[in-house]
Amino acid sequence: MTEPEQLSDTDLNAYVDGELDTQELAEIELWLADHPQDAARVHAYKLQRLQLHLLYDLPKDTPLPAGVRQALDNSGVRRWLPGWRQIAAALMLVAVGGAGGFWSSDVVTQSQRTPGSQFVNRAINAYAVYAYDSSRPVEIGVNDETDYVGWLSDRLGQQIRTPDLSPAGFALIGGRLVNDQGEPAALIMYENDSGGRVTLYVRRGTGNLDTAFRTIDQKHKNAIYWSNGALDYALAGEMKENELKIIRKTISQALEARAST
Amino acid sequence: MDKRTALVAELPHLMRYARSLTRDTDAANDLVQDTTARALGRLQLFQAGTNMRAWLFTVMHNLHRQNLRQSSRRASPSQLTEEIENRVAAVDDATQRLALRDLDRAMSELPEEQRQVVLLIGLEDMSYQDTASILGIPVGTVMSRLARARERLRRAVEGQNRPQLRSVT
Repeated sequence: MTEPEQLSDTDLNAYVDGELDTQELAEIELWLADHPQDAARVHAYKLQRLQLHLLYDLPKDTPLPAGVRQALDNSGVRRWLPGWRQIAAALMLVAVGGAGGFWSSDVVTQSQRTPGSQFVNRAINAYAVYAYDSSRPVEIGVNDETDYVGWLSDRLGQQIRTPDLSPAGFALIGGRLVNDQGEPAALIMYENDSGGRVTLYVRRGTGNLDTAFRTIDQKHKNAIYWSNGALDYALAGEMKENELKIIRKTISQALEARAST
Repeated sequence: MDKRTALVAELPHLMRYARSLTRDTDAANDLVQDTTARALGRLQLFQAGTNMRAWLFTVMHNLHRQNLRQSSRRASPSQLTEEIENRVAAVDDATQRLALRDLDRAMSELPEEQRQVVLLIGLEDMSYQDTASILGIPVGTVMSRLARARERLRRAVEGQNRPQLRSVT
């Protein structure tokens, strides 16, 4: 086997954008370790991605332009309040409070309306509403001075933990309190390098779920749900089922490791 | 109801992309408004389970292309430039400020076909495949435009950080 003469621009960019499979990724990492000039370009391109966000992310609470509101009104919805946060809040009411929600029809056809399917459906709805919110995905960020895990635990009436998902490449960004059929639930959010998000939806154990891991596959969005008795969990993300399973295993390992110490 | 709710949830992405693409707040608002109206009218054509964001970007691009053909609306220095400048000015680190300014200027000077690719992939996290279908071009073209654009941006930013070698005579 001969080593290629040089790394193509295409491969270098595909590396930066996470478009490579595991084997290609490993090859390029080996190459970069020996070629500082290419490594510097990779660094510069990754920095560009970050800087684009610094320059062009919408300011917090940017109002929806009047014309857009009008376009929505004209097609027969209720008047939306200005501001993304209010929209997200309104969506949340529709998604969680309503009988249906975004992808409920898919879920219902795949598994009958069991307490588990309804629970995971609400968890996926919460993911859909908040994981895409660029301005305020979490109520309390991880850097916030408030002890948000304690705060959420108080609301739930049950101590919760936030598992460390860094082995799976995801960093904690924070959490928020959501309404689970009139009961409080915590939505914990994680993000990877490329901005991909997963959410862990946690509520006090209802006794309606068992300890088996069940998977719901909704084409682009997947979720796994289970219970350990004290708490019911649903992990949701827009990724392949096996990727989500890896994260689920990381969660179990983290929770077990902490329980045994 | 479900598709429509998903559409509303994508509006922040449409706004961000439209602003950075047109570099003009008014033009961006018009574009998002037209896109919303058109997408709502065609919502039944959207296939549930496919990528809503990519579909909306496709609708937006078709409208944008028509706009460009109909009028030669030039991006004028608008609120947006001021907004970006204020944001950059709030950054503590002077080197970082310089780099951000250089990057923004270089973005404005990129040919639009390259800027689109950089923004869809670098800011909006679209895959190469989705970007190709949004813009209606082959994936190979997406990759070559991206490579050219990123290198150009890198030179623009790093060029400014080098010591000035030009002699004053």
